Amino acid sequence: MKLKEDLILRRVGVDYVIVDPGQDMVDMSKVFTLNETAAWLWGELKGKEFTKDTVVELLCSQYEVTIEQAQVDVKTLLDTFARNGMLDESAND
Amino acid sequence: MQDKNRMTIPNKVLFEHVLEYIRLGKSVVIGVKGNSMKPFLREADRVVLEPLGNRHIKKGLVVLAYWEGQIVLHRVVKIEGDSLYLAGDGNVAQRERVRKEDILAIAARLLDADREVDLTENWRCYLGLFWYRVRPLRRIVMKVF
Repeated sequence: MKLKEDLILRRVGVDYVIVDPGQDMVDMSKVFTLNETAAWLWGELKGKEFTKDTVVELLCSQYEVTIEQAQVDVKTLLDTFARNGMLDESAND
Repeated sequence: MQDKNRMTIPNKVLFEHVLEYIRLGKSVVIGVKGNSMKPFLREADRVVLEPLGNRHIKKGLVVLAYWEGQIVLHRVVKIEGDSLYLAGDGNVAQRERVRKEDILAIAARLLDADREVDLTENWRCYLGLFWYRVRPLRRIVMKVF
């Protein structure tokens, strides 16, 4: 899977939001906020093909977290991304 | 479409993004917050904000404006030289005085589930102004009920 190409991660102060900039109209009535970890992962995954395991590895390499915990967190995160149409799932993992 | 994952972004943060896009000349869709524009705009209604450009600001338009350090989405109810007076359709007493340069964008369209409403149409502006002018009456009605 991949992150949807046209989505943009933006930071203002302590907040990270994902914005869909559209053609000439930006829809801010539906933006997503990410915490710092999720935002970091977003930056790492942007533009790349990845699987759930890639994300777990990334998370473990950067944060002190057990693999089991990372797997749970990554699943939650990816499920949230998928539910909100933030993933391009044309490629299978 | 009640989504338990829906989050409300603090106004200040949201508008920093909104204004950046507006400055770039893009239109921005925002969700209406609060009830100050009832009955014409309701909480969670989606409104298209458009950059001012060369547009003429007329009475009855709904605009996004700086007012005393806040950002409001209210209707222009009076124009006096460089001063504009704004009022929320849902408010019965308050009026905000701003200057032309405080106007950041125009609320051009309302996006309903299945249609688009042009908020700049004359009759809509008149209707909004009419609603403003009957404020004294609305105050009484509010007291009675």
